[in-house]
Amino acid sequence: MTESVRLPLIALAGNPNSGKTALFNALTGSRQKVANYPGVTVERREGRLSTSSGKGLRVLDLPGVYSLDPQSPDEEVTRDVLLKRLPSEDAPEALVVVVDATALERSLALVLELKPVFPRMVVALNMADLAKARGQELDLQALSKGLGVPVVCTVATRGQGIIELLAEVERALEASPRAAAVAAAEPDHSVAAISARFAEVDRILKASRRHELAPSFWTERLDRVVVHPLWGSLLLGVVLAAVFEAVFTWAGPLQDLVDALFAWLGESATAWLPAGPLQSLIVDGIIAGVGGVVIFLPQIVLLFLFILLMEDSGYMARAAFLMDRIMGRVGLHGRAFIPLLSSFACAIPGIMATRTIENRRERMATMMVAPLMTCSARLPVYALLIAAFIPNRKVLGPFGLQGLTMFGLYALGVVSAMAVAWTLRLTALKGPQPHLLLELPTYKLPAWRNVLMGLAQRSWMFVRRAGTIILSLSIVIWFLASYPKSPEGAPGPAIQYSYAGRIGHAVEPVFRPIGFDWRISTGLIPGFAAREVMVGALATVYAVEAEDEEKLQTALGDRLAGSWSLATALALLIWYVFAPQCLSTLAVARRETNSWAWTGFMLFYLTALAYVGAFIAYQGAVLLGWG
Amino acid sequence: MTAQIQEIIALAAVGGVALYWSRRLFRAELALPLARLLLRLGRVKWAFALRAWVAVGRGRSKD
Amino acid sequence: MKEVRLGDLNVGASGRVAGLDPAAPPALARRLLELGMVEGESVMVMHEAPFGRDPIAVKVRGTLLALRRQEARHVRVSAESGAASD
Repeated sequence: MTESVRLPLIALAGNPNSGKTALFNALTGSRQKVANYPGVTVERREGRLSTSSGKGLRVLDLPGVYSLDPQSPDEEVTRDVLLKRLPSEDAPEALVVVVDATALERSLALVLELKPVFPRMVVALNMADLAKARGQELDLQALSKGLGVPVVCTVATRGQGIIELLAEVERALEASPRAAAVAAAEPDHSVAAISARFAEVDRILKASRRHELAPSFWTERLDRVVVHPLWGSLLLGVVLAAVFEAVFTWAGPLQDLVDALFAWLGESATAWLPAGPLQSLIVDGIIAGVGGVVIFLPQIVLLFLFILLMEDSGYMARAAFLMDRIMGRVGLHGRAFIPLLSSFACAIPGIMATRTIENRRERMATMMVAPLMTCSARLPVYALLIAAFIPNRKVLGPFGLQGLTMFGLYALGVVSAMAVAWTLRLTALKGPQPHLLLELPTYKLPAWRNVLMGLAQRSWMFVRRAGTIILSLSIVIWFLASYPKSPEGAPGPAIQYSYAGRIGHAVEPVFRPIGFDWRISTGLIPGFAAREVMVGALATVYAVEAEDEEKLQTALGDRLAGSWSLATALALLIWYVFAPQCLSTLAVARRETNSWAWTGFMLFYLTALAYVGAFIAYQGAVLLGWG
Repeated sequence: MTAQIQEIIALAAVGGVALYWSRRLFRAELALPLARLLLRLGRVKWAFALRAWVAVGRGRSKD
Repeated sequence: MKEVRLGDLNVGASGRVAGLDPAAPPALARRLLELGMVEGESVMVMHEAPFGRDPIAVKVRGTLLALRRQEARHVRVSAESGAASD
């Protein structure tokens, strides 16, 4: 650790979409650390590299900016690092400004703004291949002279120009004394200053560009369809449906594999350890609990993959453009639809994905409603109850009552999310709708290396975040469900004598009006580890046993159909639409909102909705004679 | 392995989890307000020791 | 050549930026400038989203910028071609 601190730090800055992260990946390879800046949920990416002369360097990938005039927490971090206002950060000794060679008119203004502030600078003219293919010819020497800083052409996605770039960086580090890196001037954001910088860019380009850039052939043609009011909307619908379909069907075989792996682990542990409390902890507690969450990893990884592909290709910004009006109706940003879509797989990646929303109020509102999207952990519970209680008969042509019920539960989640977001933006998160200023980048083929590295990082972050919590929770819940032990020869399942059973009994009066008895309230407790664990917990409470999972489902379904009324089943379904029964989600919400108050609010409002919803469902059903 | 030894290991795991999380939550949420309170009560040495302990954790934490 | 607001233009209309509305919120005005909405730049409305034809995508300084009509109304444009919508 102390060794790496002493390595000189260089920073990467640039406009969003300039290929900055691709360059960072090309520079540092897999030697990266992704964390947060202290106190804010802004991703901090640092990596290490050694130059051809053997010199070690640390590289900091700063959030993308259009200027040093911040309008979001991300942009604030970039400004504060470059102006050395962040006490937790070392001052960078040199700056690489990444410039999109296909958007010089706009992006060179950032170089001119940063130069007086941070003189020790090298410009990386990234995507030089795309610019060349579109006919742009540059006199690099004239450009470098005009800007007053060294300029290097790079193609980050193919690793071209990296050696030359590093050579310039080393030269910059050696040439000027350390003092030269210190800020010389405050950035100027007056209208006159900004206009003057653009005029200067035009002058420099006039002197250094020998051939103009032709418009992107594919971007203009594709955009005629992709952002067309009618065709674009249809295409977006098809894309979203395809992503959905893929996440739920392609992930199937992989999920079976994960399931088999955990089943094998459980069997091995059972064979290896003699029967007793430790075996029970490892097999029933840890392996079952952790396995219950890891099984969703294939879905989440696939979802991340699609999101990354959409981001890398340039489609994401267009989707946000198309969705902006609809999302804006309930006070959310066009970008909010991606976190909400992710939440159909799992609310945790959904909440993590809200980081792309700059405005705090919109981001908060999106995080608050993300758990209302029906995540896949709820499916096993829905499937069990629907199969057991809803008659399998056709209504409305090809649609069955069971399918319609499932659809209704999903729709209820979405409608409530919209209603809650709308209410929040009118009350606690009241404020003007922040502006939408979104660049629609030219289309690019995604670079596999970047996509895979991004995928690995995001998946690992999910595993680490959820993993620690799930592991701990599995152990605690095992304890609650196993201790104290049932007295010798006592009747009924052992769990009713445990803490979980006692809690279930204690809260029964509270749940009575919504039709839950102590067995259901007891089953809700393990559900906090992951919602679908409730199915196993109910099997324990009802002492249902079967040799495999499919038979267990059927046996449990029969048992439940025999002991619950339809009203109770409906109430439990509604409860599951709303209830914040997932501690990992709450923990991630705590981290991402950086506030206990908001996390508490999320817990409170979801529980209240769940209770009221289940109450109406139960009492209504009783009135209809289904009690 | 006898059932008793198994039980001891299992309960130790439960205790470990409880200890880990209470320490982590204390460090993240309670230590700094407590240090402030100690400072106000005039226990400067304690307050600074507590703050230093939190800072060490921050420096090491990867999050 | 008449002066109109960028936010009132139809798809296909183009013109030159004549300046920003002095009443524009300062943060929005600075961001619009940074993204290239400076006096004398040529702008062209390329696309509009469904549902109320809002937001719009505008070509300016070699990039395609999406913004809502309400924000685009702070940009004064001397129109060259294409009629302003009402």
